[in-house]
Amino acid sequence: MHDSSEWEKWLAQNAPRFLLFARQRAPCEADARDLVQEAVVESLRGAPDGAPPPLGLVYTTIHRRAIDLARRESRRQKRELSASLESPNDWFDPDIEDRERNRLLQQAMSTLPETQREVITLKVWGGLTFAEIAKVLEIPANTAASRYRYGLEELRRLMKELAR
Amino acid sequence: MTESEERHWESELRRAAPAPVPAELLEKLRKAAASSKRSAGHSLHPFVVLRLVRGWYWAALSSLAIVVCLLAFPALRGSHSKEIAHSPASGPAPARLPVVLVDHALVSTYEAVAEMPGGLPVRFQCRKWMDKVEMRDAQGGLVVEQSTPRLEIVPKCLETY
Repeated sequence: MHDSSEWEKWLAQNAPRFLLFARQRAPCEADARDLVQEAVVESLRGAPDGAPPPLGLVYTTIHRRAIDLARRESRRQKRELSASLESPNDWFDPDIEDRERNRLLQQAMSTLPETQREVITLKVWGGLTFAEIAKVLEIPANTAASRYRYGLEELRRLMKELAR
Repeated sequence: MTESEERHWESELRRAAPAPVPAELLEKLRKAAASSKRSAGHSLHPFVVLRLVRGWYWAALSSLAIVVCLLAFPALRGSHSKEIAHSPASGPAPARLPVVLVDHALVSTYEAVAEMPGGLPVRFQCRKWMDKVEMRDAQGGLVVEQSTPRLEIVPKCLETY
């Protein structure tokens, strides 16, 4: 049996990463939070002895649920309404010192294609290897690596441009 | 970007930590974790026990039914292979087909303005793509990989005076 402190530590460390990844895939903030909650609950069902589930499993579940979400036409109206009402949420910790830099980073990330954004998120902040990312996103590892490389270059270029 | 530049840029990006999870969501995740711990405990709810027993019962019954059918109707055992033998399109067991993966990655997008003969400016939307095809054999080894860069230039608008 795993005690509460282990769970607290696991949630404190990984929940922000899950939410960051979900924000890359979901059309609005409410959907991103739902994705995280549903994915954690579903991943916990398969966990033995109540242990925290593997990170790859949670990311994979977020990825698959995001695909299902995108297919559901009925969400389109909710998405349009939510996008018009809510102000953009911070993707990164709005620390006073780096607030401007984090804002630029979020702005640059949002202009990247989703396929590159999701790989960068999983590699840089998700703590996964290319092999694990390939399993989560159901793509070849070489594709994950090339998307990462191109995305990183583009991100660096965008950050420089936005900083001017 | 070289590998060391890539590693340096990666560590720079990591300075930005993901934003904390809103309290409401964190509470929901804590409750989910707590109920998962309870269900993994040693004492199972009687309803859960009943469901497990019923599950095992049906699994055992269906296995028994399959065995009985196979013993009672020997023809069933060979039917699959006969079907294959009689099928006009069949021959020897088909070899596993190679897996083909096609990927179109958008590398960058930018706008450019060009001047047409006559002096009219035209704005173009330029997109740089990387088309990739991978073909692997049935054992999972990479056989062929081809990456082709492609530049897509689309006129965005034609301004007239």
